[in-house]
Amino acid sequence: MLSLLVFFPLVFATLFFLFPKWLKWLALAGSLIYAALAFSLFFLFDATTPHLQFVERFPLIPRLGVQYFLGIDGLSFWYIILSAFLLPLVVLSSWKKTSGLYFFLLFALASTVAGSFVSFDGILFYLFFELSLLPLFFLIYLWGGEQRVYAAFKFLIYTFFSSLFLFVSFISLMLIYKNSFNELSFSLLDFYRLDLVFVKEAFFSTQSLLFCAMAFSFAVKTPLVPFHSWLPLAHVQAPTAASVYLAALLLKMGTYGWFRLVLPLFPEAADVYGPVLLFLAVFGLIYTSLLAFAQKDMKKIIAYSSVAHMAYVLLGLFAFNTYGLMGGFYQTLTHGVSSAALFFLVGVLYDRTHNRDMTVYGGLIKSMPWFGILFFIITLSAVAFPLTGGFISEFLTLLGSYLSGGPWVWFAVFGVVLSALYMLRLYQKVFFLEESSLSQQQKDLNPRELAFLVPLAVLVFIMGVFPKGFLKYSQASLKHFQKYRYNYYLSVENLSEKENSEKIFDIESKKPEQEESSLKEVPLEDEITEIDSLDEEKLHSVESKSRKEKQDLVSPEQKNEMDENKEGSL
Amino acid sequence: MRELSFDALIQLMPLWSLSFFSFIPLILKTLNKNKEPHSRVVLGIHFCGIFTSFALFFLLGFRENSPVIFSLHFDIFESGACVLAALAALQSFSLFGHNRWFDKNQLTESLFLFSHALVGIYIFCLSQDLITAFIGLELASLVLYLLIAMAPKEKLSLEASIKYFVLSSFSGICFLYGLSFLFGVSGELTVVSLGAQTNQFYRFFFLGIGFLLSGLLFKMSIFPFQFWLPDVYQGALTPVTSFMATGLKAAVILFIGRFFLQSFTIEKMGILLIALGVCSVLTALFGNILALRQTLLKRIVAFSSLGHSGYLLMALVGIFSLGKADYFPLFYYLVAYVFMTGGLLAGIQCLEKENSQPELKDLTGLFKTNPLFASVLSLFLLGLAGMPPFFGFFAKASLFQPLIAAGHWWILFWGLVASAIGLYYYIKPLTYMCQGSSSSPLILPWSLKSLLGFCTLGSLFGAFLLGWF
Repeated sequence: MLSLLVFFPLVFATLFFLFPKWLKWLALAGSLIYAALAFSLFFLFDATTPHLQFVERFPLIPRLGVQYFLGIDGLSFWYIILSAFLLPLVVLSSWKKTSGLYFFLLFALASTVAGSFVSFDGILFYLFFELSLLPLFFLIYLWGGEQRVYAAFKFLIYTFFSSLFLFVSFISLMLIYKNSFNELSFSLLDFYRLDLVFVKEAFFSTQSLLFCAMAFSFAVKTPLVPFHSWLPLAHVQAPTAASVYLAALLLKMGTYGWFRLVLPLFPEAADVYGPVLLFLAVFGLIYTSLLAFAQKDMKKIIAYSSVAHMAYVLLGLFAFNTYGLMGGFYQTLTHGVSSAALFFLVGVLYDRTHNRDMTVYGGLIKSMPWFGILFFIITLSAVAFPLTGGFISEFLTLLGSYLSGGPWVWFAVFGVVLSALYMLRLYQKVFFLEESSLSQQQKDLNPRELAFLVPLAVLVFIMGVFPKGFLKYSQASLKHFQKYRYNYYLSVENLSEKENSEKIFDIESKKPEQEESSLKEVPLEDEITEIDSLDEEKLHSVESKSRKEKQDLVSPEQKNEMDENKEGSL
Repeated sequence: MRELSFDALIQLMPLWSLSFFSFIPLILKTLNKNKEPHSRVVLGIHFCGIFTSFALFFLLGFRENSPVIFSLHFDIFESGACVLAALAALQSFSLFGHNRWFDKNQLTESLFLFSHALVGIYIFCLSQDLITAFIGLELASLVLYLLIAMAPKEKLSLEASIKYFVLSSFSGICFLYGLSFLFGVSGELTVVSLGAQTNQFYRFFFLGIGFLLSGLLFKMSIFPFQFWLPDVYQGALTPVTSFMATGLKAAVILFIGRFFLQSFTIEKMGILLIALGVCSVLTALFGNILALRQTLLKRIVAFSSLGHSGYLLMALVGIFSLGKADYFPLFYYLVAYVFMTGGLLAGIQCLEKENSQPELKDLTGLFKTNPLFASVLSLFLLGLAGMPPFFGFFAKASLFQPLIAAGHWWILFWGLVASAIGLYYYIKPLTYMCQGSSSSPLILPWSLKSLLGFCTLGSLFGAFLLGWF
């Protein structure tokens, strides 16, 4: 099943070269089949377990310990769905392209993205992780804007260099595993079993070095602020489809890396160095928001807002509580949808006018009312307005960050205000004000464009009012992640029960003092007023609703966990 | 030393069979009143010779505790090195058939020389003492001086030959000088027994090793001794370039590894190890940085091979520091390197025209005109850059292991920097291939096609096949 999901687009894409006449229809058909395949996971996926499902595992290069090891769990589930959901839309959006290579690269990108989200072998993960750079590089290089050569090479070399550190840390982990268990393995499940030395005072302990190496590579990919400079450039120069995939999925590979690798593997180091990353995140949040405010290029504004939104993910993640984790995770999904939609929208406009400068438009709402409405809905999500997905995720993130203490949340809330400032300014400059001559000539959306924009706008609403339906699939994994943060483990679902329970028992007995999951029962009312002091009364109904949902999400498990903790301490 | 027995003859069969086969066309030509036999006959016979020796190494080599015959030793490691050299020779040999720059009337002589370069490499790889190693290495070099000069249509060819001749014979003298020091101090020349004597006259010993090493490092073009490389690679015929870049390089690096690991322990290496580390880093950086500005494809390959020498030496430093004789990463990387560089040079030869060396701009539009050829070329380039999922990537994964295990972080860091820089010039030809449209599609002869196919298979599946051993 998973191999099919990974390799189907790549294999299917070879048809584009064989039948160049039916290129677009083939691409559309292929993407729809792929989406159908991926959506079948909704029925097959078992949302109650945090462990790996649909596992395919056999040795690939025994001499190096490389395995072919695919699996899926709650953390990776949604990205596969997102990728498959976006593929048909991307194909529709690039309907005017005539090159077989272009569609081939798009499909190859989908393949590699899917591959990196389901690989549970370090080398295999890295393989897909790196391979995803190539299609994107060529998409930017061959179909990008004026500065595409520079942008493409900067993107490629920057991310390649950073991910080499990931490569090295995988090899180091493998060698450590070899020393302690005397067998070769790159399997992530085996890496989780490692007990890495951490000395709080010394920088040069195994765990902190590896943490730094991995954190660097994911900080570039996510991106965190001092390492973000490749992103705006790549986004601006990339063609629409590449921008969409870059924002919606390639950045998520970075955040997925934090969830999947950095935090579970190096929990103690994450505790100690977390504030540094949080500082970078919050600083970046405000810095990029201000930068976005100063831009005229529409794509650049969205690119900087992407960096800002990714900072929320880290904020939630390093809160280490349920709200923060769920919020951070949900943020990756809502950003995946809303930033994809924004890039689509700008792409639609760019197709007509070949101009990304927002000051040349104005009064566009008169000539393109439907476009204006859709743009507005997505803008609302990007500024985290209630009833949209962005609100839920940022709210949860900020709540989680507040509960975990620390000064970060006080700065981060300004990000929300700033995002409203720059996004609404963008909207005002393009759609209101005096109608420019350029705007007058434009025609409204055609059915094809509506076909790929409306689903996204609808989805933004659904994500805003029904987050439970989305988080349901990842809840078990996130809970598990939080509960066993200091001795994370994963197992393969279809192992015999006995084997699994033995493993769990082993690990639990190793470290009995793993409480303090920071799930204190805090009265919610106080915080909400503070966090949302910027919004109006309107919110209250929604707030109470989402609050209820959150309590629903949390309370039963929370109780169980408290009970378990009590037993542990006894 | 044993007497020449029947067993010894059998054991030496890979060497003399190769030599034997290479004499046949020469005799045919002499009998035929100095008229060149049909080129297919000559090529066929030589192919048989190289392939027989390649196959015989599999049959006769790879034995534990095999006897030492004429100070040649057929143990696993030595046979492995020979097999690798034979593989490289097979690849570069196949390029002779359709080389535009090559005078067809000299085919017999050239191939005779070429086969004996391989014999020299065999002797060098199998040698158990330094004198034999010297003889083997110089035999190979002597032949190469001639072969490099055998591209009459290329003006640079003679210059390259002279350059290589002067510098390489100087490095040969260094080798000999170091050897004489070692002999003077220890009275021993066999690789194994040298190490036992290291405690006496430590300084002279060190001096000897230093000279010996600089002679060897010259042959594989490590940093302070690398200036000859791009000119020679550019001037020589592509098959010769290919053999120098793959076979000779593999043999020398494996010899260095074997010699030092069998003779010394880490404590005795001391500062030598650091020096080697510095050299490796500088080589990798030098090669990768200078390649950025090149436009001639052959020069790009030359600098890229310089970079790879650097990586190989890095791994060697790691292996030395660990002190364990685990050569798998080295072999694994070398096989990948041989396949990919061989394939790339084969591709470059396909692009050669009557009067100009292929440049980057000759690649324009190749994806449109020759899609398969272009994708094969990009496979080699990406593989050399260490991009997954090709052999080069897995090879790099194994190459970094000894380095990480030994904890040489500074070498590792610069290695990473170098490979990130390297990505630029490996991707650049690809971007040329994707753009524009060239005039007419290339027509490739079947021998080059099959060679490219062979290298492609090797670079795609070699990683997985070798990984099971």
